[in-house]
Amino acid sequence: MMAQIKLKDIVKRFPNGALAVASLNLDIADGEFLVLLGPSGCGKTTTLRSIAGLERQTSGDIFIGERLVNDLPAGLRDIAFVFQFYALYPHMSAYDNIAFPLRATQISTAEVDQRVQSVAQKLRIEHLLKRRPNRLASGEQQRVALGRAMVRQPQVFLMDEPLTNLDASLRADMRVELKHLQSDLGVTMVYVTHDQVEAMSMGQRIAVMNLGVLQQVGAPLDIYERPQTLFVAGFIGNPPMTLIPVELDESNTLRAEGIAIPVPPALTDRVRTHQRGAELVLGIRAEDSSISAQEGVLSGCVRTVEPLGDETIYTIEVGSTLFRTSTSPTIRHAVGAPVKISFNTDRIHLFDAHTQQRVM
Amino acid sequence: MSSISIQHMTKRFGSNVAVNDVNLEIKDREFVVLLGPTGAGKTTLLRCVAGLERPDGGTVSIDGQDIKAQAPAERDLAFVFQSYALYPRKTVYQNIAFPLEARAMSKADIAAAVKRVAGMLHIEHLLERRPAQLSGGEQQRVALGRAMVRRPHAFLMDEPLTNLDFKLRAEMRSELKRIQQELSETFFYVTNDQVEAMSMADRMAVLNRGVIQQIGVPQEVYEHPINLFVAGFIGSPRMNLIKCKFDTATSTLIDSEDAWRLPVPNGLRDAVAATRNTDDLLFGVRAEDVSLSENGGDGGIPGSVYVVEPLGDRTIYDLRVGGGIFKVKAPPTFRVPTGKQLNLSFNLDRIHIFDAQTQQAIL
Repeated sequence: MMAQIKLKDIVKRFPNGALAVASLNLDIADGEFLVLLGPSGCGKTTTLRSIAGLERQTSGDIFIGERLVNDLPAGLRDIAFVFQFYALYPHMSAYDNIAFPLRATQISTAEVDQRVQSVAQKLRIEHLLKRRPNRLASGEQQRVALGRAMVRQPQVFLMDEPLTNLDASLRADMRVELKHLQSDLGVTMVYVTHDQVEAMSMGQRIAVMNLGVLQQVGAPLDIYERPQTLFVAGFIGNPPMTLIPVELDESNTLRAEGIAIPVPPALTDRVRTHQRGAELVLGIRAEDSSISAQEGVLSGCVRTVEPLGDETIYTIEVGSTLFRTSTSPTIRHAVGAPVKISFNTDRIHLFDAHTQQRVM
Repeated sequence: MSSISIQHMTKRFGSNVAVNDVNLEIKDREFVVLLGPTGAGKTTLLRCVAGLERPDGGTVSIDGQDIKAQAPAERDLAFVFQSYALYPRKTVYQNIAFPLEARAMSKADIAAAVKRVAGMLHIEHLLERRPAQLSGGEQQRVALGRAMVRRPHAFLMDEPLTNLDFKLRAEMRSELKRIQQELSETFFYVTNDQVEAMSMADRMAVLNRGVIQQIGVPQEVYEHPINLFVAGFIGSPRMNLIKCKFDTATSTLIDSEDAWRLPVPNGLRDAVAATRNTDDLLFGVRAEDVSLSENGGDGGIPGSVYVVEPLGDRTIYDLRVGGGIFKVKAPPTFRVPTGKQLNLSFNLDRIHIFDAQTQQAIL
């Protein structure tokens, strides 16, 4: 069965009048891993629950496969909805936990057994099937929970921040396992998160939402390298992109307090064709700028130094702007030291301050 | 501003030893972070320093003076928690001024003190608001302001950034560090987040099961973890740790399932051979100390791409090598698909070997 999902003009308005989702159009391909990313309240969970049939959209159509499912109850949509991964039944073995969703069905005991074994093999937990949850490590519990979602062999998995309550290293492990499993099974996955690291590392495509409005859909690195709106620019990437309100003057220079950045005429021509006013927002990622004691286009002083082990993040004060730049841990400047910043003008981002849209 | 000296501190709850013979010196004006997982005993240790728990053994001294006999309030330490505990009916100004109002201070002096603190925290424009009208980050700043306004001996902080969202937490990390430097006060800060510890601390103390594992400058601890616990706890992605043994005759690390063999320089051999155990080891290497190539280079081991995790400024490759997974950091321009065979080579100056029995670093 093909399990593509089509969302057409989806609007969700809550009874109190609040607009949760504003005219959303999104096509999710069969076998795709799509991440819905955004801050809390952006409409991502409402969208997911509408696909699942747990909410009814105010207007618009939802298709799963070729089927219009607007009027189909959640139980008949052939989907698995996973909230969090560790709600296992403590009095049941791993085997019984995985088999549970099949018990209420007409499926024969032999078939149930065959399905549980097949799922356990994919998850590499065959040797744990007799154990109860309290005798499993938390990573193993996660796999059992995943097994329970898989055993019904749904074509679509919908997941709502399933890794949120795990500690950092387990979360990192589960990210890898989930991503591997999804491509292995070839199922369609719609995954909701507010964590941009999860979105970047797991999604084949990411749909970024804010305030109910879809901001951008694309492959992770495309979104990272060409954010289409100011919101996306600020939301994706860690440390966050440095964003500075600037004006482009007649001499092809971007200016703000204490800042004057000459840009090539070709670039300003492009900006001017897209843009009426002079107010822009300049965006620079931490890894696209560098600092040195002597050379650079901007002068500032070191405000904080944050060593992270494999890299060090510097916050540099230039006029009233705080620049973030990442460096190798071997580069060392003291707090308060004067430094120069340079960056690659090929990799700067410019946004229209009024429309919030990318101008180049 | 004061120094804090913790000596042989032990605290038990029934048969559970929460803090086990801890020694830690916090210098005047130093930012020391106590780092460990949930249940390590961090908070108990901090509460013993604050006087909120009575230790079963050991001493705490401030500026060389044993403070055992002093009640919490007499210790003059400022405590900042996860929850901000602001007075909801008071304005920001009144919340910050509160600790001073019990003292015989003039209104003008109080106003000056609040203003100074508000300026440092960048909350001058919020002074007339009430807590409900503030964001989480702003509330946290007010809680800090209330602690800062009375110039205590030292600041004790228990995971103060935990309830903030990711973006705010990153911002507050760098702000807290700036504030500590500007205040020039002693900070003793507890967290389970290794990024907070690495990025803020002058020195960090890693605690596990009540026992101090290692104390040092963050970059030092990152580069030279003293045991397996520290190696696995610090760094993201986590250090690759793979079971292996060592063949002294050929100076070769051999995977425990014999999936790969890695010849190492003689200097390394001597260090490993000096320990009696060469059969039960763990090979440790950080993701940034492995490089990938498509052609079988020399001195490397083969692996296949299991999962690719693009993060924007870097891409983490998860490679299946024998029965294990290696995480490798690559630039975003390096793009190969899942399933591809690659060669992993190692920066041999930066590899780690641990004794699996004692859990200690051999090098």
